[in-house]
Amino acid sequence: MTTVRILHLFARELGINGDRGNVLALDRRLTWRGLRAQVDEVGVGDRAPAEPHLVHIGSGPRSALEAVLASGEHGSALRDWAAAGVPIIGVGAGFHLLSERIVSADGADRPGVGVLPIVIRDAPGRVVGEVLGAATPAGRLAGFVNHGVEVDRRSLAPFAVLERGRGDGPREEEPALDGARSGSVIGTHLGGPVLPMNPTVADELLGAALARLGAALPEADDRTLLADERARQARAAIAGRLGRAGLAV
Amino acid sequence: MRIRLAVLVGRAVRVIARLRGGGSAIPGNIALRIAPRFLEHALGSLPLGVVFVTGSNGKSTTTHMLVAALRAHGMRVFTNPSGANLPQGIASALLATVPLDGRVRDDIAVLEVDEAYGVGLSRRLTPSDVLLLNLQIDQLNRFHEPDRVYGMLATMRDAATRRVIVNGADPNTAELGRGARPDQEVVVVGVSEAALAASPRGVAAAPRATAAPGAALPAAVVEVLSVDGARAELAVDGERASLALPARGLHYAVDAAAAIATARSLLGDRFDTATATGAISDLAPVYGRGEVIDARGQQVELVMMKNPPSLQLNLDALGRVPQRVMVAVDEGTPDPSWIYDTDLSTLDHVDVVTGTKAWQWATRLAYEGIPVGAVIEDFDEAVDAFLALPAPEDGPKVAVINYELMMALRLRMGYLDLEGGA
Ligand SMILES: [Zn+2]
Repeated sequence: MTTVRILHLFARELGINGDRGNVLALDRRLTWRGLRAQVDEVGVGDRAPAEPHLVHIGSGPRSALEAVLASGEHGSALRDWAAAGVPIIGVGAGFHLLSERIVSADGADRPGVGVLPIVIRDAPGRVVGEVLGAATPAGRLAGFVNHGVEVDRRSLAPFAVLERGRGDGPREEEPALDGARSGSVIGTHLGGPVLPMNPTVADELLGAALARLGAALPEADDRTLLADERARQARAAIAGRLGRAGLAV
Repeated sequence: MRIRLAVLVGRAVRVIARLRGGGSAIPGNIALRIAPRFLEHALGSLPLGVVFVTGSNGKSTTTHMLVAALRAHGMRVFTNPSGANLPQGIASALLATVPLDGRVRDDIAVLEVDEAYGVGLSRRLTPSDVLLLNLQIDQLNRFHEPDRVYGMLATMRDAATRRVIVNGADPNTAELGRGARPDQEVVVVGVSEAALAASPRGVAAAPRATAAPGAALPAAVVEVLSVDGARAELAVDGERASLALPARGLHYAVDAAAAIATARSLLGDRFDTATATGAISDLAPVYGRGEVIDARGQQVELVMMKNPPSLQLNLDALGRVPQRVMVAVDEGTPDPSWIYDTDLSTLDHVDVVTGTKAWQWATRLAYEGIPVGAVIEDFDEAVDAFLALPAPEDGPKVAVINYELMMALRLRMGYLDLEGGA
């Protein structure tokens, strides 16, 4: 049986807002379909692991992100894995960590690990609230964002085009965008947490991990379908609160 | 003149508000609008000053304990009721007792203070003593990140003219203690290694990168040695003392230790350990967030969902796997993502999930494999369905509920006094 090794990187240091839910969703969506998941938590001071099949990095306060970056740990491994096509998702500070540079309000300019060629800058204001993605063939993304940065995405594609709610680009950006994508790497500010709330993204990551193992993601079972229907209702509720009741999500 | 008017009008509004079951902050709000310096005037010249109690969790409990310990020593204490920790809530509490000249006659004020509002309050009331309980994950939609709350607590610490009392077991408040000014006395409350090791949840400190210890923290004057159910063993100035807690868990033991350490500092030679532990032991037990309400003749125990550590504490405090459970959460909890950090092993099913965030909770429960009876977004309908379920054999029905829906439930069940509970 195929075992997918999921690395929850900096789980102790970064993960203040239910980010474990992303890892739980990945884990259950494999085991419910009869595959095996192995979740490893690795943080500052731990030995660098062998190349995982999938990497998750959660959110956290700036002080924790700075401490992680100052440790210099696991950065070169992340660059190697991204280059090799390992699916990686970073949320909030975990997304900032993947950037090239992080510029604080006080002018401090720190290097990120450089997996995504983008720049994160502290913004004058904070963006807090629910967001709804634009229609895509796979449905609409939804979630809750809470950050105080502006992302200079350079030429990278966003993770989500937003129909409602503030994005993480310049204030006047139209349409509003969230996060970034490059190859097998996703960075986003969507909470919810993002993967239980948006299971298509979870399955995309799992599909990419399995493809590298020469396998495919099996059909969803009843438990997966139940969770996904509830997540759909949760997104529909967000759409309703944002004035878009009745939309297909 | 303005003060007298503020007291008169505020009192009149308070009477009307109570008759209508209205919000308890309104009278205080109006008094503050008439006399913006109402609080400074009322509390500015107390002989023993003003004590602030703040932190992410345990503010209400610790304030209760500290007030009980001081009163048991014969002190006259002004305090604010549980959760009335914003300026308008404190003003409302003043209206209940203050004479027409607006000056409190007590020896001392012990105030539970909200972290964010405490910054402004500390400028207006210049506390003599500030008790910093903990910094945990709390209301990220409001506070954004723990680093910001740390700044708020640091501002309050800096405002203390005499003393800072800190929980040395929380690395965040320990760091705040190390950063105190030389002219401030730092009093430390500790938890023994054994007690920490025996507690499955520890002190639930928010993960922040704390600065490398510079100045050493003074030794703890009160230490939690062990917790056994709802009893705790403390060392007070090296002497062993035992007391009953209002509920099970290390968290309550730390609250008690902090209250005792603060009372000891305030009372000096007059402090008597047995008097303090006796007063705290006599406090009413807390179930969950302390409340079992009567709902159309049925008992419903409220498990408050305020922030991750408090929800966990309240679920753990249930002490049983409840037979009839409702989960009710609305926009008062704008982002309930953190429920994925909560250990739900005390639930084996949920009968009804309701509120605007019902489907997010239902998704969480699906991933935990916890069966759900029904998701009914409409709150009133859900309450009817929940109350229609057969009575459980194991005690009250249980509602895991956020503050806003708890208030809605109380109102619906005919509770007019919204100041109660919590
Ligand atoms: Zn039941």
